[in-house]
Amino acid sequence: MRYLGLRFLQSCLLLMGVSVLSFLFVEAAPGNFLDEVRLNPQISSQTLARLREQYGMDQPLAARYVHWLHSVARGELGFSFAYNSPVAPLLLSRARITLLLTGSAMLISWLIALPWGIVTAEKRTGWFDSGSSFVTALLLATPDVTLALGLLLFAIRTNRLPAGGMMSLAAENQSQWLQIKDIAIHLLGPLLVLVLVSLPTLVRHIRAAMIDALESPCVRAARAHGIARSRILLRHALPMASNPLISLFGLYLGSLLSASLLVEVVMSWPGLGPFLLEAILARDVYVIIGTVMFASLFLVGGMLLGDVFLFIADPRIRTERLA
Amino acid sequence: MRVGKKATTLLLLVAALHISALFAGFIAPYDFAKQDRDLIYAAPSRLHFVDSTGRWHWRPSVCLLADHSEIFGRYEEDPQKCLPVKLLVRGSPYKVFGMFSSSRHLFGVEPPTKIALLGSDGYGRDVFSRLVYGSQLSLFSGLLAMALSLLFGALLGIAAGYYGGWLDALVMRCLDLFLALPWLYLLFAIRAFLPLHISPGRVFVLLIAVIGLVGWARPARLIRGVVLSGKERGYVLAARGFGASNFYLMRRHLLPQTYSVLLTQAALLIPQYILAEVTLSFLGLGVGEPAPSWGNMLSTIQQYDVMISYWWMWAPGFVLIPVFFIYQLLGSALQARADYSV
Amino acid sequence: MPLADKSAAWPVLEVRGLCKAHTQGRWWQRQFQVRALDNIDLTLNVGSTLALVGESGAGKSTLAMCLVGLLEPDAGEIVFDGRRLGELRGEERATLCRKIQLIFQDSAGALNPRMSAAEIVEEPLVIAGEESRLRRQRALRAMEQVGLPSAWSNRRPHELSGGQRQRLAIARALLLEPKLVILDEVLAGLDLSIQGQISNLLLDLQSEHNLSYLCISHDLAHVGQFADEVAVIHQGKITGGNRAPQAIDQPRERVFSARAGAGG
Repeated sequence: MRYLGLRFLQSCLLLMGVSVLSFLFVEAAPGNFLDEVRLNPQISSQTLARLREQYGMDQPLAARYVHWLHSVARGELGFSFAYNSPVAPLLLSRARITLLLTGSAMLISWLIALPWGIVTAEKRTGWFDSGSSFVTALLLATPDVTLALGLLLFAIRTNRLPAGGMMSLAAENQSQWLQIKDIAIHLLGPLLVLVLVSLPTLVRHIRAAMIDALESPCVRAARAHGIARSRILLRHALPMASNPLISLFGLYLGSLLSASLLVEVVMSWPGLGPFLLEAILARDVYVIIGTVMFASLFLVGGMLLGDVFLFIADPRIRTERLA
Repeated sequence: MRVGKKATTLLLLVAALHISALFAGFIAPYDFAKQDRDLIYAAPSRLHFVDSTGRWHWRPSVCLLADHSEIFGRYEEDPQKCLPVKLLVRGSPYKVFGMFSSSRHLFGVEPPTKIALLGSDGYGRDVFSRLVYGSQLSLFSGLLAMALSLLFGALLGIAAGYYGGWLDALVMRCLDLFLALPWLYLLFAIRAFLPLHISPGRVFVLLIAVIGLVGWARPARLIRGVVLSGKERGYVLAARGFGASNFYLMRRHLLPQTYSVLLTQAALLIPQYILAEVTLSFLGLGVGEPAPSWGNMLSTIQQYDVMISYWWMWAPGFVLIPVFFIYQLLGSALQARADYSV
Repeated sequence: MPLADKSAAWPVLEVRGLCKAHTQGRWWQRQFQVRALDNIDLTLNVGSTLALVGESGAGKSTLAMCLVGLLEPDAGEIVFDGRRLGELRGEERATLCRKIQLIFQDSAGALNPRMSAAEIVEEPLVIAGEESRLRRQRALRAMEQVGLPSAWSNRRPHELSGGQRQRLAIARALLLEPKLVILDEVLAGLDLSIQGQISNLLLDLQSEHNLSYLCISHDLAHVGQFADEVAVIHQGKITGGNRAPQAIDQPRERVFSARAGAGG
């Protein structure tokens, strides 16, 4: 348990480090966004005064960072100039939407990739394996931009899927169940793209891990004992392969988040992606920092979750003691 | 170092790709910024191997498109203006490597007829030419950013692995920090805080710097691992016993051990970096008009009518596929090689 | 060769009270020490061979590393050729340390697989800054001395057998004209006939260049043939001082040491 506690502490420190890093980038920016803010007629002088007081606009970087930390403690996470509101509520609503997309993409891609990887690891020759490696190679080589745009074209042409967005206009007044169905069908497009984008690497890694496990001495001994193939797969090889795979989890989550950014923008899924892009084009500093922090939170949280799984799954980590 | 036949052929292919990108001016029949308001969103030219009398020629002819019909955007071929395609023609001047000027192009057709192998875009610019020029930008930003990442990563990785102690701890913490951020978010964040509208030349350098510096963490970690195990090898200890300096050990014994890791990482990183540049340009954060990047050429597809009607505008999205395929094959060939090599 | 034949017997190496401890555990955990070397006393006379015998983990390799200067001892002193190693620094120390050479057990690991045989052998001279023509000549001469034809100078380590690799390592060690050569389990892993060849080579080289050997082994049979004296090391301590090889009966020795250790 101490191991997990340590990892948790490390994650918190990491997040702090990320926030410092983000702030440093603000400092490195040429041109003073503060002047731009001051010139913006949409921001009232009261807001300006409050900003100056709460966020230390005229003060040096270190002071501004401390002010920002206070606002995090207050639950505000900074102030958005474009939306004229604290960042936190905006961020939370968007983050939920991204989580919906990313979470379901992760679930579905692992659900598909696991059996696929296991089967191709078992039968290493034959048309299924070569066909599958061709398909994965092709998918891997296709940029996610092309996939997303292609899906949009398909949606427009065939009219089976909505072409972007999260909800239809008409859905707002309908019942709860119909609203959920509406969101679900809007989710399909981006979900499909994300799954297609992440499948190839996942399948390859699972296949490689399973092959390593199947060729290991313990599994070979089990086969020599005459244990049934399916039992070997599930009870021996898979647990052995799970160690590298769980470690892969964090890596995979990072690339999934990055992929979702693009997919959300292209397919108008109103998550963190379009939000970040807007903020960049509008030079909305605190939103940018907040969004990056959130993405980092997802990633670090996911990695921590992976560590927990690893702890549960791999007895070697639990009993690791130095002699 | 030996990389094997398969990897060598693939490396040659990659080199050929980059060299032809450098000669973009020669291969592309037209300048990338030359507009032609008479030929907006014109379809690709049809190559006619059979002339008006019905005879077959080896040399295809191309006809000029003219806007005859009342419907905007519908072009018809003007049979009066069909001219043969020639090789090594004289056309508009361009510069090779920014130094030598020339006006010879690989192929072309005499004006006023235009050969548009991939049609023209919203300003009447030849898409094929823009594609070829765009390859310079996209391919080389990947390559140069990779070089930067590897340089930085190798330096820090070797130093951290060799010297250990506080330097190692510091580098590892920085590494964890950079790996804790999803890379595209980090890229966006850094790009966000740099001026949005600057000249394409400056953007190119900026993009390479940013993409390259964001990605130092993964190669650094791998190289550190190699150095950690490598510095305990017998021959390194023996060389220390002969009184070798740290620098000698790192240069003569440890650095060669990293070569295979560096090469494999290069093959893996370049497609990611090309994609990063394309993504940034696609979203308007990278190279801007009029400079052609495969990314900003793709962004016009986001308009409904372009996506539906003008299929040739999809070219940049599809030309990436064979490029990535080659890099993928190269990566696995090098990886397989690395597993067996010493 | 019994000790009595050596006319000028003076110690080329004296080790007094050498201690080295390894600490285990991260900084936030309770640390505890493993005493690799505990008050080691050794004497080696010029031109003779001292065998250091002990089981795995007894501290033999740690001692070898301390002698060559790859590890710093915690306490005690090493007197080589009449000079105290601990007192020397920089260039002086480097020059003296070059006169002590170490040959490893794992010949494949001790040779850089990317370098050719000649490059491996001449490396000490490269580091010392010798001119390229001269060092190539000396390297080839050293190869001939150990029985490797100079025509093999372009071969890589993986193209040589275990015995040939060991010869290469010996040739390399000889290049700096050392006075003391530490042989760390050099015969382990070789067939019996090859062991014999290498032992003979070492004996010839010893009489030719008046070398002193410190042979480290876990098996008395390996070194019993050509050692003048034997010291037994057990859990970091030397038990019983230098003795003639015939006086050592290894299995009994282990029981004796264990009893001695337990009894205090």
